Amino acid sequence: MFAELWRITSFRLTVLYGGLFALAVVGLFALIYWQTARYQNQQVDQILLNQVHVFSTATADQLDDDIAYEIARDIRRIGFFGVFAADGKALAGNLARIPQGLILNGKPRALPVERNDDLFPQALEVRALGRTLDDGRVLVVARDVALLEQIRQSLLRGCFLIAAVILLLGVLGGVFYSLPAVRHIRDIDRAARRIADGDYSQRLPLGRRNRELDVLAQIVNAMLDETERLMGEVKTASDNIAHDLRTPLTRLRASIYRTQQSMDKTSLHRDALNHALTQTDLLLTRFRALSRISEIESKRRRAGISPTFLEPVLRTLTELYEPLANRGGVKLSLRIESSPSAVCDGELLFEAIGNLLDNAIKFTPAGGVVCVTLGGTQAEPVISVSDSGPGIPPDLRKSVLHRFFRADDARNTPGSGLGLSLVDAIVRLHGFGLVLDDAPEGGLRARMSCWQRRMPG
Amino acid sequence: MSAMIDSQSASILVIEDDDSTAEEIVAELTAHAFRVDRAGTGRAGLMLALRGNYDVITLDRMLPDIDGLSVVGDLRARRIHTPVLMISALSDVDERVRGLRAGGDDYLTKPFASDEMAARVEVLLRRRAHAAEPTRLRVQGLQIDRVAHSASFDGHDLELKPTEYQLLDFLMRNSGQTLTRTMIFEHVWGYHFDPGTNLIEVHIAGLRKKLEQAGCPPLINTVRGSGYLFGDVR
Repeated sequence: MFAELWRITSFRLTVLYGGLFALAVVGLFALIYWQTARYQNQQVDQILLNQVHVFSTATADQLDDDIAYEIARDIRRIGFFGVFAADGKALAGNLARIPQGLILNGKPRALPVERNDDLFPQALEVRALGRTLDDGRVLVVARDVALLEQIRQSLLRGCFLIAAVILLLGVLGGVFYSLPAVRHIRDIDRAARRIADGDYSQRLPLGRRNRELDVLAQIVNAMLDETERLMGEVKTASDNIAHDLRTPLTRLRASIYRTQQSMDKTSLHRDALNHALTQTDLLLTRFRALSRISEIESKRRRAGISPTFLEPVLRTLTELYEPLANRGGVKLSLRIESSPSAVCDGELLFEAIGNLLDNAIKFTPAGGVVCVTLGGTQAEPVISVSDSGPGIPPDLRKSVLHRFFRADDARNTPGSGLGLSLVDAIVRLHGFGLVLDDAPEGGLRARMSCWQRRMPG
Repeated sequence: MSAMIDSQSASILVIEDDDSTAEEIVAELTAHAFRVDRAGTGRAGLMLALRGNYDVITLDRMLPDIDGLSVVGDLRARRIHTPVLMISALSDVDERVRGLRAGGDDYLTKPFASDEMAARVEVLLRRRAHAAEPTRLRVQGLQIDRVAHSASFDGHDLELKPTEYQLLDFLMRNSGQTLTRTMIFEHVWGYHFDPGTNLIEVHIAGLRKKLEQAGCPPLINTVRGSGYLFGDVR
């Protein structure tokens, strides 16, 4: 799910912008903190400088009093004062010694403070200033800047909270905006698969919110319209050719036939005429098959469709094709696993299975087997025809159902070479399913699922 | 072959609006020594059919004025039972059913081979000639019992499968007439599609073999390029 979301540009963009925004908020808080800290430090430094200034102008006695007074006044206990002799001995104030690292140059600076420092108990950060007085004593003034630390902590807390909220909103918003896109892409994927399966009446769905996708889908749909139109034209053209040529061909055949009939039995031309007749018949068969397919494909009325018991149909079929199989040295058998009925046009189903049988017998070498199986449940009957012939390579299995696929190499095989396309047309008319796979007998297996799996057409 | 038809001077009415198709039908039927009349419209055809005493009518399904289905319906309503061969460019199974239901006796799709058309006309003629068909048929010692659905040669029963019997029955009932593969497939198996060249051939071969094993002379003849013919043609 997340991987699928992550593929959506709007989702990635939303999350990215959320992240950047959160980063910007962090930066803003850092700036505020930095500015506040500077201001605070300046304030503290000013206080320190003022105090030192006051102290340094006082006399030695006044100094002690001033310091005592300052300490007494400092209720918050954030001020630290100390007067030390030149050797470092504490003379007055609340500092036991000169803090380490303090440079006695009269400039305020931050002092590193350890937790529970004995010098500055409870302080977190201290700014301090030290200078040597004119009499050689050392004056140290320091101030706890706990306030700054508090500000920093609340700033940090706020900063993280707000960044988290922004990120969360970003992800949620991304999901909200991208879920329709994910769904839309799934729909497109589904439609595209159906189109790839040969259903050119399918179109890519249009969404309501994903404009870029819609633009693309519309372009693809326009291409599909054109493809479908062209395919329809090719089909119509070939159907028309087949139809228009049938009449003159039939007449041609009639004249050949009449000539052949009127000829002397011993005439040498008789063989040639017989050959011409056979070839004309072959052509006519092929054209008839083409017309038949287009007839079935254009069939919209469903008058012949009714519940049909499949077992008698298959028994008649096996009986019909058995002599043909026997002549080719092929053993034809019928296996009844269950005896369901199907809602179909019995005559067309007969024709379809007949074509499958004809193919199977034609392509199975002598000594082989062809097996018709009726199985499945009452709701989902399955008829399969399997053989021990050479089969069809998996990559060609889809194309053999196409009308003109075998047109080239069908020349040497008897029949129209359009048998499987005819079967396919009948299957599609019913909305049934047809799958070609490997037969347990070693050759091809055609499995026809005789229940309505999709809208017929 | 037409020499063997007993209804030698049969008269046939051709109702067909397309001139070239009509010419073809008339030429073929005339060649079979039938008397042929032609009507170009449904109305004219209907008038002729009502007046004249025809043995068979070939009727185009699509006519400019009255539809072929109405013509045959009208004829049947007036208790005229002349066999009608419907000829149509509509080859849909439903169309066939509709044509037969309206009262047509046989259905042929355009374009058709004229010998096939003639063969169908002859079968219709034969049906008319033997309105009440005998329960037994006998040709040169080969006999079928149409009630018991059994066949015998010289008194010995032949072991025939049901379809083999149906095949023999159809051939014998129409002996002396050319029967095309499509006609055989339609009558014996009851399906109306192109069964392919070999399918009927192997069934005929099987039947021939059984008859031959019983000592029966070869009575099933192949008519090259067309179909089969039952009878002694020597």
